[in-house]
Amino acid sequence: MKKDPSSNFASRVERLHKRLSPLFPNIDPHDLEMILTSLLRRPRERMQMMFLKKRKDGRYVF
Amino acid sequence: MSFDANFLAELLEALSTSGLEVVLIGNAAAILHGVPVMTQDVDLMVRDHPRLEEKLKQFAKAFGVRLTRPYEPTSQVIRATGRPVMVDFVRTLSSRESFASIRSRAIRVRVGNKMAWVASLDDVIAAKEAAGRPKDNATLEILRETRSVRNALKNKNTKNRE
Repeated sequence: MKKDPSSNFASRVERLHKRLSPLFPNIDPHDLEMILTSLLRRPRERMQMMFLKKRKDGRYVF
Repeated sequence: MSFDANFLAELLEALSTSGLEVVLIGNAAAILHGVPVMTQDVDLMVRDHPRLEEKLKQFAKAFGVRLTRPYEPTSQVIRATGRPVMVDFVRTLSSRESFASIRSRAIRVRVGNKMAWVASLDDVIAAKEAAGRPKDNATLEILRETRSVRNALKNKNTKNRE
């Protein structure tokens, strides 16, 4: 059965996290996961959520 | 494309129409390098030019924004407002690096049908270190951590190829 691409991506992050976490004991494990998730995305995907937008009522939205 | 990617594409189109040469700096550049942060604005280093004011006016018209100078005389930031995301233009950086030197190390990133110059992560970090403002210091840790992890990943990939 073909694996779901999101599950492949998650496994890749998990594998790299296991391999790299001993090299970065000072980085919080959750931060390391966020960093890896972000680094493994393509630039086009990184552009999907960059800005906090200010609405006319003064509130910010993603 | 997402709203954010569309916004960037429209911005690049207006910059190109008005003949402004820019390099994306600040957190927007950091995000394109893979740093997990968000930002409220786009910071652009603009190449100084005798007709810069005229080009900026053309840009304002093309992008539908109003130009202000919110921090004069202490800072010469030129701010474009009127869209959901502000755009700030600077001619100099706190790290005192020239436009040519920042662009020589910048990477090219495709946004829609345009290419953007994006300052290197090292230059983004150096500018924030030199600025030393609390808001810059707040993001420095995640910027440095991402750079270290990215370098480790690069080394891993290089070793795998050897």
